[in-house]
Amino acid sequence: MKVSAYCELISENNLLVRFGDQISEDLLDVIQEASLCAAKVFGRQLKDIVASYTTLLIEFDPILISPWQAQTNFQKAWDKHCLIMHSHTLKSSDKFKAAIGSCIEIPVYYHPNVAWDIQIIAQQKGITWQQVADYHSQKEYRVYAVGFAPGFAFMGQLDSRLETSRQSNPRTKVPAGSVAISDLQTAVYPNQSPGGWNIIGRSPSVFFNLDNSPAALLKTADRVRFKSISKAQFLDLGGCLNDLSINDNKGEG
Amino acid sequence: MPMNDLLEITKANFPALFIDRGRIQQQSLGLTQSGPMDEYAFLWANKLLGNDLNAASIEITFGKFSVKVLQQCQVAITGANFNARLNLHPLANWETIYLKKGDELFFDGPQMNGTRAYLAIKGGFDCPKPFQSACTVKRERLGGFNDGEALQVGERLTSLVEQPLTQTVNISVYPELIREYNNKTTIHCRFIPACQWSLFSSQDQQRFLNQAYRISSQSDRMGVRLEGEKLKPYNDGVISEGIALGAIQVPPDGQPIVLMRDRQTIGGYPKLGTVLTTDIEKISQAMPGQTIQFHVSDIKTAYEERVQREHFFDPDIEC
Repeated sequence: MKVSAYCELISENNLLVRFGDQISEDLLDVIQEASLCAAKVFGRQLKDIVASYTTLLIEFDPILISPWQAQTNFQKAWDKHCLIMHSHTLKSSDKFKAAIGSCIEIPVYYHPNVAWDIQIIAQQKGITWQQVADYHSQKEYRVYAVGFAPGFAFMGQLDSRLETSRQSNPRTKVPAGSVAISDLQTAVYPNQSPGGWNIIGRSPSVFFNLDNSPAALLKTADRVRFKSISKAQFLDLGGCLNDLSINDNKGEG
Repeated sequence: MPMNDLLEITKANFPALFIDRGRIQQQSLGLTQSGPMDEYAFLWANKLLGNDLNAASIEITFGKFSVKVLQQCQVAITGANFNARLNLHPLANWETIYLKKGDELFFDGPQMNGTRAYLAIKGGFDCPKPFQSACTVKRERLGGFNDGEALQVGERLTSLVEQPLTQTVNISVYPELIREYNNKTTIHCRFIPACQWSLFSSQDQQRFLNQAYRISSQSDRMGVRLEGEKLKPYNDGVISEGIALGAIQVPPDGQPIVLMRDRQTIGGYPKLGTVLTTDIEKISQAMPGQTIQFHVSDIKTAYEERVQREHFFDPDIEC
């Protein structure tokens, strides 16, 4: 897929590259390629990199490369990359897709006991809460971005039958492992944190742990599936049911 | 051989945090870069002691902090003036100090001369470095002795190196290079119009440039919130994108927020541009209620000042 990159220097050490203005799975792969391309072009000049839905934010070390040179180097490398890809009929892209690897399966206990908003959503949509669980676990998702909190992965696209807006009054505490939806996205809260997304389940998996390598279970571009599990399985896998009560944390946020 | 404890915290009324130049290469995990709010003062503290410029020091916000000396050591204090005292004697700021066993080092509250001071020790503090950085970030539960918590009374501190056994000469910053942070005046802050700047109406662009904003008390290491005549963002939100240090975002309430060291990695509010890295420290030392005025600048100025800054602190840096 040939995609032009619109580069903008937004500070003396940050290059913001836009690849489009619509969220799509194709663009997700393009941005992953661009991210690898940037790592190759900049080498040790690269300070940090943030991939998001339609953009790549490249932070370089301005002592090692001037902002104008950084912009030129990336633009040239990307144009060349696109040209090669084009003439090789997406061969390297296929190779790249293979490298994304197998699908990560996330066990989820979907039950109103832990899924604080599942019945409200079911009511709004005129379906049962079991159907909410079914629609959510029937799709394969991609991780479009990681941010907001350590290991928090924004996944899409949700079945449009589950499209919701976020809570108008965000909760001050959402339990770790809460599986949540908002708009056409889904995510899991890796740790207890404030949050405004609608909670439809809880996973016993560990999503962020300093001692694991890598520390985050999910990374950008990963493929993900949710699997419905029973209460017994949830507890077997180390899940926790009673860390917070739904009633004691509505409020500011 | 483990080093002996050198200092013990006897007062910590406000957040005092282990800080270094930041947690880099980890934003893909969703971790903030963090780093010193006032990098100029932070770098000076390490430079005065001949430390690695990335050595861990303590960022003291709003003062009201003290330490008891358990064993002789050499420290430096820079940044906000909190009327530092060694026992009963006033200390000069922006200077190294030799501390002896039994001494106590005190910091008062804000004196309308800055809000963040740095306490560095010869060799750097020995502290946990999750993801290769000392930076303490509460919401990420990273850094410090207790998973992201600020330093507490009773905690003991040590250095990575042996301390000088005999009294050292106090070394101070050249007077002309010492910063005064007058919290009674308006801060003038330069920014690069970028990102969604051109999508704001020209009335809003002018409104942003022509008013002095008030700094909200709802400001922290993550973002500094501004209060003033509201802007009307052309959009409630954009597709989330990476956020640079100093990004000026405008949420739907029309009151801009300058994103600081502990900013989130991605965000979806439209942005007016990016504050110059070398002006971030001015905002970092502001008092709530102080006013701030923005001025248009450009990449060239930002680049020249940044390179000059890096070369000043590290003349051997390679280009």
